[in-house]
Amino acid sequence: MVSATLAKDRITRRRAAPAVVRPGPAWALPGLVFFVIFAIIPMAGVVYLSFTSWNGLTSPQFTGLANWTRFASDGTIWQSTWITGALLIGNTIVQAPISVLLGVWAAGRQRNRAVLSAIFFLPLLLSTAAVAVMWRQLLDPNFGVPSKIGHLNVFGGQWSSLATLVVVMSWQYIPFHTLIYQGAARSIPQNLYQAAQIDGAGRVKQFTHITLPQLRNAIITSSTFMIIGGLTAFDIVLLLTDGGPGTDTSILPFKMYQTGFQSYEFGYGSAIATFLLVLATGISLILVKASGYDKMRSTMEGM
Amino acid sequence: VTAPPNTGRPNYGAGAAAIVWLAIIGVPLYALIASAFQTQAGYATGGPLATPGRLTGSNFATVVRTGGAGAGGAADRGVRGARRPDQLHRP
Repeated sequence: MVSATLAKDRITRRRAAPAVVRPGPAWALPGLVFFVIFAIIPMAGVVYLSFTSWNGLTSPQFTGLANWTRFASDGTIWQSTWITGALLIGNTIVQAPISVLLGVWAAGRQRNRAVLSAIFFLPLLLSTAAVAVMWRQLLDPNFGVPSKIGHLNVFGGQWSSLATLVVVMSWQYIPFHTLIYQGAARSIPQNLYQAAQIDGAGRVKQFTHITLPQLRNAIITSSTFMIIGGLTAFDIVLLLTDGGPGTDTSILPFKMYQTGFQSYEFGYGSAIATFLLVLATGISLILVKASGYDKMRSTMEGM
Repeated sequence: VTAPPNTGRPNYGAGAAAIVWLAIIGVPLYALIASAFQTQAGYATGGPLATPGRLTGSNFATVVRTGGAGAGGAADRGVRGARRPDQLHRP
């Protein structure tokens, strides 16, 4: 009798389980209000300004599609887009593998790893401006390291300038991505590794068959940050190469700054900003859809 | 309780790579700190990686005295109102 009620109780409880009470939409309101005020309204303003001619002083004049027809036939825009893409790809190729390896390494509980991880974190604490000025001095063709080992000017050519930007940006941002991977690697259940060890998997096999698949969500998070960061990297370009030599490293955000704040064409600058906005949103959406991140599946499923 | 992958054997490859990375992170940071204690003449001859022969605090004194308007600062770039260090002591 008692066991029967218990069994019945258990059945009803199991049936009730799928009806999870989700928090009401009112909880999203504070976040939504902030998002509307600080993201949606400024973005709408930029999109509006892209249809106007504005020098920043007088009131904007509505000019219809004038900025956009100019945008479509502007060769320097496509040059900037190409440079932005090259920088983005270079940054991802350099940063992603190093960050994954460093993150997994730093997840170890050894004391030496803890001490070294703290040192490896330092570049992220410096401001981007300080990092750019420091590297500019370090690589200065007349007073920096190149002047001591033959006169190599890394800021002289397009490819060497882009490579320098990749090196400096990686130097500063790898610690950030390492942090993401360190946290994710530490949350991988230890019994997965124990099971793999019993099955005879070595260190490399454990890494490729357990660690990497378990880091899936961290990889998507880190890649999204990398791409958005790469599309908005402006300060480091301004201070390290100033878009040079010539316009060889003038990426889209830099082009946008020059158009707006040096040529005082805020309308056309806003058109470039809108293009960047569409580009960033598009790439993030593709990344999230292609990786299945939007399905919100946990890596702990079936455990 | 979760712990990192630990096969028990020390990972020498990872250790060597970590030392290489320490150099990559450490050398620019060293240059930053070393050149802060370096004299102008010492920097011109030795470059950013040279160890300062004699530690000088004059760079920090310049920053405190001029509020960042020292050599290469706002005064050298012609910012109005900013004074070069050689103008500071004149009445």
